[in-house]
Amino acid sequence: MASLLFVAGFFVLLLGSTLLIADLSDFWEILFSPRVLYSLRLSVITATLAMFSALVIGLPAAYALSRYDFPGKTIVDTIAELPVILSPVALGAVLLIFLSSDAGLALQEYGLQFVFEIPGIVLAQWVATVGVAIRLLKTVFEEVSPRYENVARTLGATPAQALFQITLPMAGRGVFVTALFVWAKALGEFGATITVAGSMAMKTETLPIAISNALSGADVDRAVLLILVLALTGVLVLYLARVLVAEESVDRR
Amino acid sequence: MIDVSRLIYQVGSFTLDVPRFEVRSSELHVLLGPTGSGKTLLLEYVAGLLPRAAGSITIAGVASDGHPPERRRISYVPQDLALFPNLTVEENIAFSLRFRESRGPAVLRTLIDITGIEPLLERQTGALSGGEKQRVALVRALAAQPQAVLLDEPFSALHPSLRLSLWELLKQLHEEFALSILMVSHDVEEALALGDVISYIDGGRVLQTSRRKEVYYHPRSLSVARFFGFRNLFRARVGSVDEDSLFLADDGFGSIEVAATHREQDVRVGDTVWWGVHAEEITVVRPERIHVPRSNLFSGIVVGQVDVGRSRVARVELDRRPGSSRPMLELSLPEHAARRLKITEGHLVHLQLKPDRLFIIRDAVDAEDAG
Repeated sequence: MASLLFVAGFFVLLLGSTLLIADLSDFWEILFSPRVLYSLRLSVITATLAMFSALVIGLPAAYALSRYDFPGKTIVDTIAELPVILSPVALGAVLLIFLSSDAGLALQEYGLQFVFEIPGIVLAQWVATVGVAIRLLKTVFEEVSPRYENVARTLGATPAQALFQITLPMAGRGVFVTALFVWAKALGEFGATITVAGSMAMKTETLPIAISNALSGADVDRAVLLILVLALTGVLVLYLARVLVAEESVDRR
Repeated sequence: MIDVSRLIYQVGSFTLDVPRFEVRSSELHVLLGPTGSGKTLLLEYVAGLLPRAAGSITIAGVASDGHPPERRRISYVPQDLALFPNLTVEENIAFSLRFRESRGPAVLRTLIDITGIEPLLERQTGALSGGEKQRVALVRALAAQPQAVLLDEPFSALHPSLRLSLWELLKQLHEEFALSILMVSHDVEEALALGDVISYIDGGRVLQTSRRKEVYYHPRSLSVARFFGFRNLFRARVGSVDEDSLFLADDGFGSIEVAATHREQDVRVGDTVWWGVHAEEITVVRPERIHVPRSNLFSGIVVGQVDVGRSRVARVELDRRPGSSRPMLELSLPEHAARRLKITEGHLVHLQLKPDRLFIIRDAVDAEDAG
């Protein structure tokens, strides 16, 4: 409890200290400038898309890892963790190299353009978060005993029906919390994103990239403002989501 | 109703090996055995939850090998009940109606009335008491109108008085719907109270299947006898056999007469066997009546006793026969009878082992004995 208070206090002080240094006299002006609003919107949208993509892949993968034994399971499980081990820049570089290969070029020719484009942001954020998503979701599914599914099946449900009507609803809260975490991680993702999508203003400049741009332009006031925007957006969304989940679980009793 | 044959399933070093196992239609079959005996695995095999087991199973005349659980129409109530916490009681019990067309709603109504769960329908399952959960789990299982119901120690966690009322409820449902039930239990009392047929399983093998209490009164192997808590087990040689009786030559007791039932007929003179008697099945003979001729009458001194609540367990050391050690018998009496018969330490008592209350176990029947 005390350590929790310490950590929370430390972060608040840290953020507060930036306010002392920065001159925020034109706070509102910068905040509502098209460029900052664009970055904010871009960040929220790409993080949300990345989160959903991570869930689309992460849910079945995590379910399979939690329920079935197959040869090479441990290896697959470990490889899925690679994005957690590799630094984000390395991850972005690997992506960029792949996209410049013949296969990568063909993919972009007939599919989506990734390099220096918005889909590239989503791809980078997805790659950076999907491993964590699988890890967390696997734990979530492991906490739901397979016995519920077994009973559902003896009552006539197919495996898919048992999954969608029993296991997923039971895992709902855990999936939601995982989704939030993945979203927050995607929102703050920098290294892989800038490597794949670049840092063009009004195009691929997400909030973390905008902060980096402001700093490299020695515009501390702007950097501080962007940091505050990023922090407040993230904290606000996570807080609201937690409140909603808490209310829902109170209703259930 | 359920016919299992040549089932082999291996988990680690444990092997479930059941050459043949049957649950007849409308039968309440109790699968009795200690923890880790494989009884739950057998249940899961019947439910279709062990797809990798080798064996063959027929359900209601239909060869069901490889059929997934949803095609078997066999309801399964696991030990933890697995009520779906994301659904209300009503949604739980109506769950099977989502998948199966049927006269479900009418049956459901009857079940709700019999079990008295009407006031619980709107509740969340987490808010139910243990007994309420049991009822809901039973209703949910029966609402699916299964061909058979599998129960895994459903009443083990309940208070004794609640258990009794749920036993009654189960019996009532069993009769009302002519259910075929296979129920796993490690509780002797429960098995004797509920089972039309009792199978004893240990070490992955079904060692004995008998109607009603026969497994209790005539255990066919030592492991069954020991599980039932027999302490009066002795070794003897078969001295002679006639139409009605076997006579055993026991070093400590001398000659023992055992009523010959169908089971003991294949015993031959000269065989070495185990014989035994339940502690509650020993008759105490009043001193003034010991002159009436009767078989298997012995005298001895009470050397120890334990008060176990409503009954008393006494150890009696019998008179020594020349050239042998003193045999010890354990007898159990209701408290009031023990007081009336003056079963106290140091007292002389006369005991009769009625020939029809004795059982014998042939050697080497422990392994191959599924019936």
